[in-house]
Amino acid sequence: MNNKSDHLLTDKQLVQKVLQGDNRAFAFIIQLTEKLVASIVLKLINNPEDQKDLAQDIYLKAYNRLSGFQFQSKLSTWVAQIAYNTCFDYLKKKKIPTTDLPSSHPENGESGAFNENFEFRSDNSDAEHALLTKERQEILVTAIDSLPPLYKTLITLYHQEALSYEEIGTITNLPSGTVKNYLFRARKKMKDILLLQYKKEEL
Amino acid sequence: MKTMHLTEEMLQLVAIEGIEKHPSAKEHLRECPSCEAQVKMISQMIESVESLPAATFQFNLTDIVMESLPERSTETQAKKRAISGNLVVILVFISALILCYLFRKQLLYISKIPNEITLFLITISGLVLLFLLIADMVREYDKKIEKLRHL
Repeated sequence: MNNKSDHLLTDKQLVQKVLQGDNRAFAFIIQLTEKLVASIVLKLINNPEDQKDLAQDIYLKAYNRLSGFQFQSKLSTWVAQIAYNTCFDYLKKKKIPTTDLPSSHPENGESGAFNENFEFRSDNSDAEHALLTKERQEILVTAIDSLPPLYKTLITLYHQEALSYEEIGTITNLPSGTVKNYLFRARKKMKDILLLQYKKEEL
Repeated sequence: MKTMHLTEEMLQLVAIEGIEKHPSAKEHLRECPSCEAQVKMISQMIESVESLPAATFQFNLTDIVMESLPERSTETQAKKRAISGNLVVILVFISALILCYLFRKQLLYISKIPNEITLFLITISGLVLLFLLIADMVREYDKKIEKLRHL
């Protein structure tokens, strides 16, 4: 038996146990999917109270809809899809734009306009290196946070959670080609934000 | 040196998938420090994103969710409910027939039905129709409850 069917069997067994009334199996599902759900909720929702309410809401929806799960995707992907839809419904209710935010930074449309002097600085000293790494991480987190919610989600799911285009497509209800295209745009936008940040620091 | 720079898509593809998968870009990158620097920057940026610490909730999610889970009617409970429902239907049906038999003379007098066979046929048909209606109402009720749970 290959890995894929092993995984499906495990998902099926877990779902069956929950449907038979075994809530410990549902607790196990929460533990299995919590990291993925957290990466979606924490990236999209800023208010800690809302994060808590939405995380709870996501799993209550998953619990109530479990009998309708068709095993067409991994259980974790299905739960992530619920998380994504719940967060986006929340953002829509709050009238927060989900795809394109008005950009406050100039777009470097032409690749030739790239600042050749840009480079992540490296240093031999351990303490300075740690400081620079922390500083770099902070700048990076700020850059990711400035992206529109959809781009943020795509970057996180692809580069941090290492999901495939197809899996991300299932979660976000987008075709794989669109996911790929949006990811290009998201990385470009993030690169521009980082360049602008470094230019500001240089001045 | 070529004047046309690599497109943003190609720069990203080279940074993510490596130069070996895109030999057409190899020659240009050897001659173009601008594109080479951009590829380097993109790959460093992606590397940094991948090394960011994983997001975690600052609360115990499992405890919060498990405390608020509703009661789930299990398959066994559903079977028990169906069996008891069927038993009630059979009992009501038999009782109605017995009552109909015991009071057949009064019923014939009141309803002006010519004979007992017609009376029993009408009673049985009426009861069957009544049970079908009730069954349909129960089904609709279950569907609505299920829909509400999915909202």
